[in-house]
Amino acid sequence: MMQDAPFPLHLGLELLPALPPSVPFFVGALLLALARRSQGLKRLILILVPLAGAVNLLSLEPGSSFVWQVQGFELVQLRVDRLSMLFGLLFHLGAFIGALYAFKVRDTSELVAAFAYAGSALGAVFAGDLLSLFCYWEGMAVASAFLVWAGRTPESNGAGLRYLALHLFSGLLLLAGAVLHYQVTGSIAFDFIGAGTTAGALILLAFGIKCGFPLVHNWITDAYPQATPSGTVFLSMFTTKVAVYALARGFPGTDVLVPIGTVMAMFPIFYAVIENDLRRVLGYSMINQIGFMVVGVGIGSELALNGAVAHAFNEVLFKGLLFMTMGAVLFRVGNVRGSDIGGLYRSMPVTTVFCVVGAASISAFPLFNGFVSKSMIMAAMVEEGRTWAWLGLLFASAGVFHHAGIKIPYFAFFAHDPGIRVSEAPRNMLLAMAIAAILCIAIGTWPGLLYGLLPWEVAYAPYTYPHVIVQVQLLLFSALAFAWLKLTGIYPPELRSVNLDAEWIYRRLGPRTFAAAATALGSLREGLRRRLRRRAALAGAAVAAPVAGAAQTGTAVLIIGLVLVVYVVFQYVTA
Amino acid sequence: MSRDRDERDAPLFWVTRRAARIAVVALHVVALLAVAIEILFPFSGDPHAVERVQALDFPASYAVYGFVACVILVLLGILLRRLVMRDEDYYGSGR
Repeated sequence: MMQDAPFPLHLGLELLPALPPSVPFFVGALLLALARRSQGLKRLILILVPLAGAVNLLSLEPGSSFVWQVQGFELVQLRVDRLSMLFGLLFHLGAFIGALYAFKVRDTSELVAAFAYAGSALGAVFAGDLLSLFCYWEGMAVASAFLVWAGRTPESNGAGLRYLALHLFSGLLLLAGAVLHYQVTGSIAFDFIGAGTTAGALILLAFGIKCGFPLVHNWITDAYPQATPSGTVFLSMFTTKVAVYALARGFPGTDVLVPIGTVMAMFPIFYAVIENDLRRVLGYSMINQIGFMVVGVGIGSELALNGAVAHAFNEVLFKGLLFMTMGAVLFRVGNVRGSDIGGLYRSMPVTTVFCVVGAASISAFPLFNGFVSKSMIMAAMVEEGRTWAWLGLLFASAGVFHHAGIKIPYFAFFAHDPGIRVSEAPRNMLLAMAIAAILCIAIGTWPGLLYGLLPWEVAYAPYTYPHVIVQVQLLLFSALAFAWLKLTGIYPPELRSVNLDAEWIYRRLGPRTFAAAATALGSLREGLRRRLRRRAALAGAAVAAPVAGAAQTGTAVLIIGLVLVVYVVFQYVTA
Repeated sequence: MSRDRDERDAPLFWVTRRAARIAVVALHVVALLAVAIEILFPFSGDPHAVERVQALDFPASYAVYGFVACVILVLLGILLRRLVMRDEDYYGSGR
């Protein structure tokens, strides 16, 4: 049972009417659009809106709601419970950190898209019915596509289009599922759905696309590396976390999620090891982390669900932090290819420290936040006797340290030094990174800070002697493996390349098949036409022997017409 | 000048080859220490050892698992690279 007690940070202010938390961000997006000429005003809005939004959020009374009656449907814009409040707080925190990071961005459209996107994500989290969820779902898709396009390169144009197509498709599946669900149950309320019905399967697939399920995961690795430094930070914070929230709300305990999540946690790490673009490595690593959350939702016990949402909370912080550090490198150096950069600890020492904090957090080192949330999912798996999946996730845990914990900081800041000398990241970026880094360490050191916010009662102690010692062993020996493989020259070097993945189906096979089919159809038509002409020539006897040419064609038609007339007359006379 | 080149060519974790060697040695020491602690203070009967499933119920099991997992990961990664690696503009420019 989810706890009924009010959210711990409840302010109890009754100065304002309870607004759906999406509203301040939509208003903020509008104000940003109006203030586009004034950089100072835009900065003020960027900082004030998440803060004002947080005051509104933390003043919401548990159980309060905000309902629109539309065509006999009750569209619930505000459902306040511990699950929605946790994600609400997380998204305000994420938006604040992202806004600080984007403080000096001049491109107004990017900032407007970011706030519209954050507002849509909050709308989805607080939506109490499937129709409202659908609307915010599509809102997120469109707003975030503009964030990808804000990269303003041919690459980001293409990636944004592919991204938008897949996300709109996810929305269509959700709508179809919602309509079917309504026909069967007579309700559009968004509560437990379950995958047992057609409607449930459609909705699960819709959530799965946004979650990055295997085979529909490439939108993450395709689009995230193409956005601007700050755009990617925003992108990494909302979409997949809304999907995890929606899974936790609609599909807790759905067994199929355990194997799906295990595959998600495992296969991306192989790609991450050989990928050259470090932001794409983080994209693969993101799918891997969401795999843990999906497994947690699939197991469905209170410990597992708490673990899943706690890990979602932590991932926004540490993955956001890692994307911010790579964004800072991109901002200063101009690219984040592992093959081209290195040795940046000389120029960007503070960013280096933040990157190491993010790396330690994602690797689940004791005293960092990944340790206190990932282990809840692992412990729940042992409790439920899921040994094989557990072994798979343990493999993935070692792999995370390998590709995200070591590879990212090593190839960006250490490794070979090509002699790049740049300035340290701008102060606003450093401040945003500092906030995320401090939260990573604070939650890791005092897990009660996060556990107190979780939707279900927590009776889990992460810091036991066996747990700490086995985790340290796992990580140190992973590091040892890296060092040995590197020293013996077995470790694959960073190479400028592209690695084929499931996206090959719609980026190469699909277009090529389509083109081949079009060519085949074209030549078939040409062949048929030639044959027909030959036939026509034969039928028209010697008269039409040279087929080409307008005059001859006209003559042929005339002769055929005459033959026809003669034939009709002949038939008429003889009848 | 020559020191500068030495720094730039430093192939490992830190500024100089010497510092890199120290880092690698330190890593070995700490890793072995983590195993030694477990052997000195075993916990297989510990009721809090919920993380310990039967498959890994031997001393230093996580160390072995972590090491082997990462070696397998890299070797399979190299194999995967042979299968899937293509030229950088495989999907065309403006991909």
